[in-house]
Amino acid sequence: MVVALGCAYIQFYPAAQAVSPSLEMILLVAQNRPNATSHSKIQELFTQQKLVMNRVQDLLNSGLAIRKEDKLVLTPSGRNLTRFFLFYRRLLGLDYNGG
Amino acid sequence: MTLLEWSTWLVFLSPLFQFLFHAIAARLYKGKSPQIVVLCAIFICAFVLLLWLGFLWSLDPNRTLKIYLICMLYFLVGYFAMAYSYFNLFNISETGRRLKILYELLQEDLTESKLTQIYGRDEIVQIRLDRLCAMGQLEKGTDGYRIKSKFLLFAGHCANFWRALLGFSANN
Repeated sequence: MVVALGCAYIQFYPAAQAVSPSLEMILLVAQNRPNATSHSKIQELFTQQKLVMNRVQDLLNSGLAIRKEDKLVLTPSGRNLTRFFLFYRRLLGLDYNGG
Repeated sequence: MTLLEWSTWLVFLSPLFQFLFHAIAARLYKGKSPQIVVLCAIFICAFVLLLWLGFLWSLDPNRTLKIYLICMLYFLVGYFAMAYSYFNLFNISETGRRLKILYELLQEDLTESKLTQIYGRDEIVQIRLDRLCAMGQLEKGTDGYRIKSKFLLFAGHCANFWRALLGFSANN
């Protein structure tokens, strides 16, 4: 029971650490009620930095990727983690086209 | 084994059961929203395991309803804590931006500008809008998007509250 509750608590952390774009979109659309929210207004909420580069920085900080010259390269642990998720999805019978 | 011991074992093994139910559901409902499929699998699995606990309880000659209710509550709290973790694990594989970046880097080493060409803001926003519509959380009209269900809206308010409690800024 302690393990189950501990795991669930740990899962709450990423929700606080990284803002979920989907939730941000929902909150923006809700703010504009009763009017509809246009696609361009939703896009304005995000920048390349916020959506991609901050996550790249997370990967560099956690040692899953490194910078080699001007390119981003996976470390062995980054490679293994990615392969684990691809294997998990194969077991579920799902292709990977997430993101 | 007592009913409480059975409940503990079922909680302990619940990620395995959740995975098995999910693997079956994912194959049966391939075109449906993956998040809805995993949630359905989790709830059906809980129902089946509760029935199993009820069956074991019915075999006990000294059974009392109180014991069953306590074991059921114990099982449900543990089960859904595990289910929350399982759901998040699946969600990472389905929607995680970091995993998508790792996946692209697994295909080939990329410069940051090349990476953002393959996986940039516009694509990320469009994928999420389509997904939210498929999940029935948003609806798309001629003038834009509207809230269709308040489920994720509530989750969004909870996440903001949680972030504020932990002292994170909104710019992450």
